Amino acid sequence: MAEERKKSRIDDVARSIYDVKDAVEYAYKADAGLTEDVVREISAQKDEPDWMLEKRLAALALYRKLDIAPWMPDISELDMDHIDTYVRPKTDMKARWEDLPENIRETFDRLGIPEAEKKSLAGVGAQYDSEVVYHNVQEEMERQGVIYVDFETAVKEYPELVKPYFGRLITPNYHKFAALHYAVWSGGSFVYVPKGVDVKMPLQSYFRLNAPGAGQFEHTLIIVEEGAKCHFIEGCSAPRYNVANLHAGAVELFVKKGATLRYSTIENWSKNMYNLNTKRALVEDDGHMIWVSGSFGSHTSCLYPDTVLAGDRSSCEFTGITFAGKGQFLDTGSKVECIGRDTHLSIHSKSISKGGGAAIYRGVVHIGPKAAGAKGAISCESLMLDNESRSDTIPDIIIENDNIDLGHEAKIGRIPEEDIYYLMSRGLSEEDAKAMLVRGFAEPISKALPLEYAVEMNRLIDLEFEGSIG
Amino acid sequence: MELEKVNRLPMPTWRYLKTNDSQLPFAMPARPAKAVWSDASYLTAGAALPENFEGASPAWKDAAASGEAYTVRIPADEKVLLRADIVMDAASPDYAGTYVFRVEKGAELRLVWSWKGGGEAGVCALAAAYELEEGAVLHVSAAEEGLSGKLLCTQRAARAAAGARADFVSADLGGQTVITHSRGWLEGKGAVMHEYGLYAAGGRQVLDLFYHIDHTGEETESDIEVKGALSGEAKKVFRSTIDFKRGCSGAEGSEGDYAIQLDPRTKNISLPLLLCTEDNVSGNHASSAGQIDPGTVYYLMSRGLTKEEARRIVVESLIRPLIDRLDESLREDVLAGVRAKLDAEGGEP
Amino acid sequence: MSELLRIENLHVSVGEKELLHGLDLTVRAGEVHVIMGVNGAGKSTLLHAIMGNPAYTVTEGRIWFEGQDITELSTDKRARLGLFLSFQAPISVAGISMENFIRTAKTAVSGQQQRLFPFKRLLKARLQDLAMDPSYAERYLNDGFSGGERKKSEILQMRILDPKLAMLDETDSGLDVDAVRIVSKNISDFHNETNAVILITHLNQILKFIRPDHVHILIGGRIVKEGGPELVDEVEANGFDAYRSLAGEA
Repeated sequence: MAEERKKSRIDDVARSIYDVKDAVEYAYKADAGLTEDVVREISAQKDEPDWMLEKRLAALALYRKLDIAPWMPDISELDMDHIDTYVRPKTDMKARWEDLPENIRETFDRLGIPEAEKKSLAGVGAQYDSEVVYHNVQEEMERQGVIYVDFETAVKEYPELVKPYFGRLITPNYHKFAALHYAVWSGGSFVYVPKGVDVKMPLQSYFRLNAPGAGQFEHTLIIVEEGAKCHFIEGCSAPRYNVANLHAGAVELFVKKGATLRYSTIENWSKNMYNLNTKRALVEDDGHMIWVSGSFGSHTSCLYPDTVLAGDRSSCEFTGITFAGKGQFLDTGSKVECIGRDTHLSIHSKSISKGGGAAIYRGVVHIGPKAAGAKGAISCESLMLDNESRSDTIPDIIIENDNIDLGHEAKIGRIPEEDIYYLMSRGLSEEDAKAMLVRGFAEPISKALPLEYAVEMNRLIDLEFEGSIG
Repeated sequence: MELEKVNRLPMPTWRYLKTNDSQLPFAMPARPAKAVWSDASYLTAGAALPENFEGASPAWKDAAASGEAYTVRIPADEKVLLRADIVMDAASPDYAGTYVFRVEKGAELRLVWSWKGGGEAGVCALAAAYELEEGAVLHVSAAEEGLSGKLLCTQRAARAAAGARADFVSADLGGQTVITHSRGWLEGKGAVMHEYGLYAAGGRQVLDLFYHIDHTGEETESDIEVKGALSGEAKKVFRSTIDFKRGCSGAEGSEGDYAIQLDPRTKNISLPLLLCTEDNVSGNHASSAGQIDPGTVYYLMSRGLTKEEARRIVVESLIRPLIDRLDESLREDVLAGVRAKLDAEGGEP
Repeated sequence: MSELLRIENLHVSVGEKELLHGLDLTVRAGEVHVIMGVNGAGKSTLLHAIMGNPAYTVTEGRIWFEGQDITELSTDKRARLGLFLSFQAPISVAGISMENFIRTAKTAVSGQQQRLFPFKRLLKARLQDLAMDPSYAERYLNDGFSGGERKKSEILQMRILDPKLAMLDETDSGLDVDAVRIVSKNISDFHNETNAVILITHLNQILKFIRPDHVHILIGGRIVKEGGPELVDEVEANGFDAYRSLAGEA
């Protein structure tokens, strides 16, 4: 059942490598829309245990009950009756790139994934539409007991690890799109790092959505046991079609006592994507959670990585940049909930708006009555590159005890004229001066990313500039 | 007492946090006192609030409308000092009033609201609209004393034309529940609005403070600064929005919320919003929350001060610059009020 | 010697306010000019007007560089022609490394791609000339620099960009004695028969090391007196008061 769709007419020059669309071939596609039959069919296709089907059906009922939050950006173009919830690519999962069908392999080649794997990654998973098509992890990692598999495999082979954690941190009633996620989830990654193991090289998952009008609902679950360390990288992209695509993944992260998890994301979904993703981490005593997040793509995003600092002396850092260009509405931010004693948080958010794009920072820091000794700093900086665009900062700070020390700073404005003049006085053209200043603005984030991603991010910024000022 | 939702955030956020608005006691002022004006010649009976005057909530706007109503006109280029004394005593423990102040071109109004009363329960609902013509200057100071049992709701809106300037300075010491709702529209080029609020809240006091200023004119300036100390089980909510509208080129706005928390049971909620659709602006927010820096207390104690004295000095040093912005006639009383309040709350910092 | 800069009847305003009221100046290759004057005399205004700072408006008069009228030219184009201004208060930008920035600027000014390793060597050598640690290359542009370090960072850029006309705005203020010596040495090493230097100073610390050919005294937005190096000593001895009356009459 192959199908060719016409290429979109709106070509976005800046995204050439992401926009190469493969002919749309798939092995199975669930009927568009969302019915109980569709959910049962997805479960049957995956040959799932009953407990999972039950969870799916309960989530579907909840999805129907919950409303869309009134503060959310307009998502009325997103017609759930026309979103394919499940598109299985025409291949089984492989552990060698060579074994993948040529078109899929070429896609990942263009994105540079196999090459990065050779150089600097401990393990790679690659998802194409609804299923993971490639998975591989270094033998050395496996010897140390590290598990890194696609989520379907995890459900079947490690139920004792998956069942107690799956859906515990992000429950289906977290919000409407979390419920949707649990009804139709497919693909994603499962990572288990045993006690004391330090996974020195990053693990990476790459999500590619090729089918037009489809949704991607991958589930990622990472458990970092006591004293262990892990860096997980997530990359996302899709070619552009004229129909809306939806991404409603869920990422659940468990950081145990004294463990450290770094979770880096560089998201460059195409500009027809509704990215309503949910991420949440639970941090135990002395655990440390680090988020690095670059949001460049999508039509509309709602993404607020959420950290629950449950343990004493647990801590988190969030470093994020959002770049909203023409036609984009990116509502992003972070949530932190302090429950344990002597917790520590640091939030550093930057945004850039241009060409009529809207970048919204939305955040909450909640320090509970028992979270004595909480310390933290929040900073939000927004850069407006023209007066067609929009930039809002909506922080919420709730403090329920006095033994805390919290500072918050926010700034909105444009690139100072003096800075542009100074750079121009050294011979840089106005456009080059602006691009350089914006790269400098984004530097704290690119510094926190692995090198290839930092290079990639700077390239995305430069491309945005060629389009706007040049 | 019935409850009423007030001070809704202009851009709401997550509902489960329950911070988009506040559910607080509401009552109609039943036996309102009359305001005594230092010079009634500027007053005429009746007041028509502008249509976009929202107030803390429709019910509170109605509550204010149930009482006396006056329009105060300050003719062009005149300089006027006015004082309103309102005593809410046992006989008339409530107040309700609606006012429209029109400060004409180049005129200057210095206005003092003084609220006094006993400790008995009562409700105060005030709604005041301030219209500032070109180059008008307005300075409003408000302070109250002895209103420990009251439910206070102050609602105001200011519209400033080119070159006009409005300063509001409020000291909130009493009141069981204090609701402030302030709205500003900086429409003319170079219009300025400042909001300064200081408080010392203890016991089970609740302060619900709302500020929202729109910049539409070029080179307009706003500053919202709220400072204070929370002790006992006091709770403060700060909702502040500066909105830079497209076209307000050269505008500058800043908002700050600085709270010292003196008791583990205090609650401190802050929602400082910056909204922006114009690039040539400078918007800033800064806030801090927490206890008094132990290093500072130690330093002061090493010079022979007691812990309580050290604590008082630190709190005073935080809010003193705002007290100094009040009309001179109020400063001493407010300072004494702050000191009394801190002494009464006592306890470990 | 060939003429580099010629200014005729220059009037400059910021906003509504005129700060320079008709000023003439000619600078030839091989020369060192010093502009002296009290605070607020218009010295920095002059240099920013020459550099094309958009905050300053030339309301009357023209500026030529090597015979080309540059009055309307954008700042970057002036820099590419060989003009350089050492700012009195250089900006700092966290996020842009010194090396990356200067290399980009050098590429823009010279029109030639700067290869990584030769450039690194050049930068290292120039840092050494200024007694600056090589680690400055990795630091962010002027970020967290002390006043003295910023001044040195400006001289470093001057040396690498190698302009035809270097305008140095109070490069000596805020420097200790040793730093003044180092900076002066760098200016001397930079200066030759093909380029020129305009120095602004209201102290004459730096002039102990660099002897000017021409001295201009700027007061109240006008050049009130011009002369040779002897003028420096005259100002040193008598202060600026003697020239104020000249400004009033001009």
